[in-house]
Amino acid sequence: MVALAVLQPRDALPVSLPLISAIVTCYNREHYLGEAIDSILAQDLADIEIVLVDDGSTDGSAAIARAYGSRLRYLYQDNRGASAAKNAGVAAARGSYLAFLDSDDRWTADKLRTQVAYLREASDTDLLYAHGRQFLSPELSERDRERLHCPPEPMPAPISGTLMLTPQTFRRVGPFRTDLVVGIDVEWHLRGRALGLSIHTLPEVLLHRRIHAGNSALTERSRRAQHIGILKDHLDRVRRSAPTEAAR
Amino acid sequence: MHAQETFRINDPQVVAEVIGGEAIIVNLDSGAYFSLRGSARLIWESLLGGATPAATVDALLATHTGERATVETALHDFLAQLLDEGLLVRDARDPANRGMQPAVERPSADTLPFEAPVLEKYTDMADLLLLDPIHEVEEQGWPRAAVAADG
Repeated sequence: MVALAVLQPRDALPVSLPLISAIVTCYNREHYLGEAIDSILAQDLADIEIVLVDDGSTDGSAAIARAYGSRLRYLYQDNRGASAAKNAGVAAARGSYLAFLDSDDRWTADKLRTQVAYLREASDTDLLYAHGRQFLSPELSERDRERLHCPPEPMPAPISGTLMLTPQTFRRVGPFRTDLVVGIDVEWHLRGRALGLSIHTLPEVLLHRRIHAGNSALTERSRRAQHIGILKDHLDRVRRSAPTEAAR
Repeated sequence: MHAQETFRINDPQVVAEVIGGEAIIVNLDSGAYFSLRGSARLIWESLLGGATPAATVDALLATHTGERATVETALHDFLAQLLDEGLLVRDARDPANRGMQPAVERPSADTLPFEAPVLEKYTDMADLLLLDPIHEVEEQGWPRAAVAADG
């Protein structure tokens, strides 16, 4: 057996595919990226590939990522937006399951194990989410801490940061829309719902979402208005499919 | 409420837009969103344009058939709902700075029978709407999509 293996050309050796692809997307997050990656490396489950998509960062994000060496796959692209980065990560992923982490957030150490265990038991679940807890980034000033809204209690978090699914299910829903700046996860989730996918949100807190000075939406009315178009499309879709029923 | 009061959108926690003849309103504090169609949309636009409830009733009666008392009661009830949901607040600004506009534009030469306004409320997206804006609106990271989104 050993001799046979030695005689095979290297390219012909069976390739071991990872169980899970953890897709991290990043744009100018040098202050937080290391924590995000470390939270993946700290998972209490092996067989994970980390696919880091750097969306054209101009700060020190690339150097931080490269310091992890072969522990992650680093992909660089010109700045094309968060959706394009996630889509690129999916295209490069080789795992049987996909998970997404924004580069300013952290997973709990049991995130991937908990979700894989659930999906193996409940194989009819297509989109598996979890709860998340938000936290104020330590560097925030007192003024920002007072200004920013940070609910202390865990919240159901049907967003990509808690999502786990198979690549096949992702392809059914389709890529994240690259013309959106806000509402990216909302729009994607609604497409999944419209397909009639089975969706479940675990009660466990598996994501810690960082709130920092740059991510307050309160001054971004024009961008927030993108939500409205997404909701209008959703209502139209619901009314077409069930004219006498509301989405309520 | 007083018929001569004026109102404004509860900015910044409420955003709204009229698309395809339907007003979609999102309360980002509660995660609820709302649809206004027909007379509800007309009243919403009238009040946001700076018209008083009394002026809005006048404008509705100019374009719709119906009893004044019926229209007044319907508008009163509807406005109370908008206030209860935190979508509108009373406008305390100086009237000179409110940018008063005509109340309700006549949609056509024909008058329509007045139908009571309906506030359609949806909460099915609350989890997402309460969480979603935070990470995707950034100055430092991901300042914009590659293609400007106008729609």
